Amino acid sequence: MPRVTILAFWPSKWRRSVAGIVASDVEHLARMAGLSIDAAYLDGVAHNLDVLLQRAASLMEPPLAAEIEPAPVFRP
Amino acid sequence: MIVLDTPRMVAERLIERAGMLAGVRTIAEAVRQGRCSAVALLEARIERIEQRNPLLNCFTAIFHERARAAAAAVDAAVAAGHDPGPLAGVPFGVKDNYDVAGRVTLAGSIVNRSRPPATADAVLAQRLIRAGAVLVGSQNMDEFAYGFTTENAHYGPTRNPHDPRRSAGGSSGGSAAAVAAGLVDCSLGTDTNGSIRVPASFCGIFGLKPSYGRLPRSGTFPFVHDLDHLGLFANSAADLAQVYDVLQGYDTGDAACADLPPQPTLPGLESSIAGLRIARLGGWFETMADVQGRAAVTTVGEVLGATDTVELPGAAKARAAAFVLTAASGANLHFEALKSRADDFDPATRDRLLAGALLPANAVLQAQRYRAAFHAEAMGIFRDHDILLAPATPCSAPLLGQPTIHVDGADVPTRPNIGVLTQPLSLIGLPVATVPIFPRENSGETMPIGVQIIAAPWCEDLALRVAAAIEARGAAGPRPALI
Repeated sequence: MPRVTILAFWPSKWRRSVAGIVASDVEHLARMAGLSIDAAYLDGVAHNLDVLLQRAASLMEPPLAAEIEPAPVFRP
Repeated sequence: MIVLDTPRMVAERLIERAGMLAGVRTIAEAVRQGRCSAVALLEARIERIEQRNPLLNCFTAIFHERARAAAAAVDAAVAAGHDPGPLAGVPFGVKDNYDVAGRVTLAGSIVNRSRPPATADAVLAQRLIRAGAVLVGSQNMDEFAYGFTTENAHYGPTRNPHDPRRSAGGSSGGSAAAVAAGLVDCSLGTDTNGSIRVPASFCGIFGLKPSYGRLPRSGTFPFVHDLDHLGLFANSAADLAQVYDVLQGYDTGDAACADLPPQPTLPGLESSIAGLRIARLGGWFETMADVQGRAAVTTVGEVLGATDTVELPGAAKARAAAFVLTAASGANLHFEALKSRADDFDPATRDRLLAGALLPANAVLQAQRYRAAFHAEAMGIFRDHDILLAPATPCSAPLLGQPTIHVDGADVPTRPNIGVLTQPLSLIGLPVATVPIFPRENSGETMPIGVQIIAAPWCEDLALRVAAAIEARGAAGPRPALI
């Protein structure tokens, strides 16, 4: 079967924290969520959580009108 | 002396027209009229798969016995004077997240190996089979559909038939590459964030992601329940329409499937597009595309006479919302496996899903609310427009393993950014057809890129009609693959 080297989803150059999430944060949050994350994965998870929180933060401003409701199943 | 064509000769001609497939309609017509044997067609196709698949890696499984029996049944029906259906003898494949009776639905993972075999085919596969089509095999994908490149750590990458050093796109990469390489005439895929539109763009073929809720997902392995769409790939707009019309219809097995009667698209496919209000999407959809992507939209706009440009100012945030919702929902779906078998995930999938499991509820709810706001914004655009045009991908197919692509004046990581132009649209469930635009000679480019033909909800007929018009005017269409 043809194989290529699989790069991490985020190349190392881009693995820098913006939201400030570090491995110890991940350990703490994982405990609260009932997850036990292998130490080898902590940095990768921290980076991905950092990116997710950045994206989430971009949705917070400006505030949405109170009548805009979350739809659990979206129907166009 | 009159020499009559043997069924095998007819089959080979149908397969080798200009190095590509003859198309769904031509094949079905020949089989229904008894001019071509479905068995001969299938055998020629299997031979082609055995030659090309070892390099391309489109298929994860090929169902030789089952396909031969199905093709023989089609021929027997024709011999008995029965009509096998509008897709008689048409070989097709399904993405690895579609159920196939008797097989475990792996969805590109090894985690799923512990699941029981499927007891029935996915509903959409059943519908094609009832129409006479022949299921040939399951096709490679990113693990659990969480990716845009089909660089699967367990089953290897799918290679682009136009340049095997390059990605076929993902997550339905095997399905798209199989059509582009002429291994099957159509494939069924899924699209949560762009997983039909991205591989259609990279492989230079037509794709259709219908409205959210249009096609039932019964018998497929989910990824993000409120973003998952099923759809298809083919080598022409007419083939898309013919297959899509067979796929339509309500099914009680999918809670999100709309209870709508089928709305056939093939009869009106060649109707005039005069009077349709067509505009190019600017803003995010221009700045996040490279020169080739913008040129492709310009080409399509010119043949359609579309001079207006409109913007969806919320597109960047919509993409962010899709990103957040995907990680959170995917993590929720796989939470038990993440707790007990994290090592069995593809590393690129695992780290993102684990991160998604740690997102605060506030972030997820805000993303859902933003989706509602963006939906309202888009519906405002559709009050004045029928069709919107945008590139499907920020660039043509990158090399396998390529770490960065160049977008908006900067090098950015490849894998997270390929879906920037598709994610905002699937977030609000819009129907989108993708048409392939190959570069002009001497342009310096060699690879195709797709243009999204975006319609208002439930208006797949308009998207397909415009796709057919672009194809008829010579601006879009597939080309024979190198492989």
